[in-house]
Amino acid sequence: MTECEVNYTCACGKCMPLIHLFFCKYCVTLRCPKCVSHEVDSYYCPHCLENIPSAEAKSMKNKCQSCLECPNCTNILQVRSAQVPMVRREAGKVKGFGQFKKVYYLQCSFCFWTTRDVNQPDKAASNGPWIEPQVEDTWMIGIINYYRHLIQKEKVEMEKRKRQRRGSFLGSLGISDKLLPFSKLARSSFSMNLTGSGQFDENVLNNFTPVEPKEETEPADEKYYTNPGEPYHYASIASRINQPSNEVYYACDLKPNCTHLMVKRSQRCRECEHNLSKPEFNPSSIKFKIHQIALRFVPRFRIVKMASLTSGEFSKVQFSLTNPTEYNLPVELLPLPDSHFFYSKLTTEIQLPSKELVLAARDDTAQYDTESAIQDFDDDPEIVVARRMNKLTFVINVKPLVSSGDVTMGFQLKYKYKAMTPSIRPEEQKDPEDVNVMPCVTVVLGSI
Amino acid sequence: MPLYELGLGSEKIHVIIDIGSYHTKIGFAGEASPRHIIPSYNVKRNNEVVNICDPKLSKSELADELITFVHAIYFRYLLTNPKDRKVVICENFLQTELFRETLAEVLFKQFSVVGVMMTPALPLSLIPLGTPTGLVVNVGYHDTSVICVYEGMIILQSYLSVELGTHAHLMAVQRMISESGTVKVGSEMKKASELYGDLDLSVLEDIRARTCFCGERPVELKDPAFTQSGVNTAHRASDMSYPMSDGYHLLVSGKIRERSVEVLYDGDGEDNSIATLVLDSLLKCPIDCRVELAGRILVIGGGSMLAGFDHRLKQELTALLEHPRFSKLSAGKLKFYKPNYFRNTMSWTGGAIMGSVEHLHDRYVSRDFYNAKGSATLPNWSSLAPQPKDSYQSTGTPSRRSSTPLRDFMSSPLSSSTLPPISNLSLS
Repeated sequence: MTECEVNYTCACGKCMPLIHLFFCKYCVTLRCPKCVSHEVDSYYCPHCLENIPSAEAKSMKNKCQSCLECPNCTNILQVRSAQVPMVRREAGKVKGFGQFKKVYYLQCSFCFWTTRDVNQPDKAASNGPWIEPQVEDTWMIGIINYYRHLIQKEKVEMEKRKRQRRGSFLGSLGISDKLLPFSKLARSSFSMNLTGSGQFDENVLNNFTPVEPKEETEPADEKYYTNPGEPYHYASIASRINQPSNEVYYACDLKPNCTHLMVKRSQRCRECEHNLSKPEFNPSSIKFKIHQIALRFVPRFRIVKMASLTSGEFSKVQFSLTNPTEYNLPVELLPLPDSHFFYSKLTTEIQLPSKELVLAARDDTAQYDTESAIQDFDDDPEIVVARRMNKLTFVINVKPLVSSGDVTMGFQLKYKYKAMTPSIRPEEQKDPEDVNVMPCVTVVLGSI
Repeated sequence: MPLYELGLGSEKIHVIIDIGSYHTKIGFAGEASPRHIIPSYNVKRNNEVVNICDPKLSKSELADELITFVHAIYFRYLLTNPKDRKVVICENFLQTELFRETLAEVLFKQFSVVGVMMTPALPLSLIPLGTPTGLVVNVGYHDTSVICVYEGMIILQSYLSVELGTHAHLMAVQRMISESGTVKVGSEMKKASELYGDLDLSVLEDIRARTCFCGERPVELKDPAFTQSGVNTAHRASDMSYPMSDGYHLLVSGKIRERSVEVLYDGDGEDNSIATLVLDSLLKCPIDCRVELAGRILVIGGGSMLAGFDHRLKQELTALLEHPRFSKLSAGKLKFYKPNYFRNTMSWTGGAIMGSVEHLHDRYVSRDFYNAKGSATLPNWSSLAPQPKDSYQSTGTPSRRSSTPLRDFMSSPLSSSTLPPISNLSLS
């Protein structure tokens, strides 16, 4: 049994539920998530919901410094405190115990992993520092520098060779390159100027020592043979790859992870480069500054009541259309154009309403009104079943043409979108002009 | 552009993506380790798992999957805008043309990246070592491949691969568990095969990661060439009990722990094992390179992360050298590199070094060039077409033997008309 679904067709031809789509006011067309370009808007920590400035996020490698994760189960670690007696020592020997001292360690409240498990010393303050600062990788810096000079040298030599090849016509005249007043040195410096920043240091290249291969290799530790311990003494693949800079074999070498940040994204139309969606800055806010999702611009088509479908017979299936706009919206239903890719997959004959259906304007306060003025829309009782606020329920006669398989139907919505042309000066503000919008809707009514 | 976003020079720091058949390594240029290692598959809404390297995917399906995958890379893991940043792709040697073209299309059209450099992953792994010569053995998830690089030149004929990798090892663990694995239920011992049947791959992987290691070569073997499965049962590792999710303990015997990895050395039934692969590859190299290459073996890939892996490989190779099949091979002393970064991310780190070196602009295909010329112009290691002059700075055609190795390293035999096209290559 296939599920019923109603899909709208994006300008690129992809079919998707309306909730996933955007509506570009400027191109007056539907855009699917693949037809918009996404951009990182703001960084935040998903645990403490702290907003992190992008410069800080970059320098911290997209990690939140205050929230730490369990290396085993990636739940958030909590700070625990404990009382431990201070040890009095004299000349290296324990002489007795003094006052109690408060110490802190981290514990996972889900799997009970603690920093004590990995022999991380307890901290005197509750805020750590829990993470050791990363040691600068001098080898990496050195090797990048080495390759930089190497490439530079290569470019210079390439340039030199090219000049020599070009100069070969002199050779054909019987004049050797070497006899020319421009010495080798002069030529090379000239070519260096040509290549731009053609500086390389021969010392860097000479002083670099690559890693040397060794004849002896290390066999597996004897511990693996005789005293392997328990499986939980070894780190799982998941926790190993969770710390790419610290891949370990033994679970006792694991360290707490910093929580990875998340981003709020904004979307932009690829065609006209206008912003389609921009979230509010505050990480805990679910509101948007710009929010052009299709649900707010395109009438929503839904299946209300299915009829039992029999092949070759018309049955009345109830559908509804909801108007998201703040004005009355006449909607026409047209047959699916045969250029649409879904046309060949249609398995029904449908009788679409011949008249325009007028959807009432959306009025958020209407449901609180005790006496709302009931508008008369002159509905055809054969087609319109019910009308409640901005929702209209109506009937389409559906005749499946197949005896088994998916029952599919499709049509084209046609309505007028009031396009506002934004203008800086209010006196030039034009009246909204009506633009026809004709999104295609494909419906799967299940299977028979 | 704010100052802090400036990388070296005037460009933003490049993004490095190493797509493996099982795990994908992603991160930024100039860093020693990737930021994330993520599985190379997408999980769909209906929990269906689609591996992006699946060769069965059609072009449009692949494009859809890659869009989802790359979107997650940028907005879930790296948290950066794909625009304005160049990308370095460390690719599989025998990546299908379809995959490369689709990936380039997705990166340029969907994510509008500025430039893409696609470069073979295996030779890249020598870069963090600082050496232009070496024999790279990559033990991946599905297969193991070998390639020789001599003074920065990739010796294409030496590329060999065999379908032995982590997956084969997991299957061996499965086979051994269903043959002899026992589970302690109460006071009696039950057969694991009756209780669990075939174990889940993720469970097998965990068993492998937490209990298995690479034992030394069994000493009693007389024939150094090929050991038959089941013959070399000698082991001295002790047993471990692995807790299953239902609370019972599966007894992982010392034999499984130490000897399950034998499958990689037993061969694939056609006299090919990891060890013969290395020597066969050497045989395909010119005779005057062999000593140097055999003295510079680098073992990389997630499959080689088992303890004692390269030690065992060396023992195997030493034994095989006495076999008549390799009598003509004058290999000299075998030497192994001890990688300075993790074996599974060596290629990525090589890519990160390359990505951070400026003056390599001519190795990237730019967006403008791609949009103008289309995907057919993507440089390919096997393409014999001359370099597209417009995209590269007009430094002329690089000569075959430049004094410094890097150019050839990076390009792979882009401009090589002397090397045979792919059809002439005899792959195992």
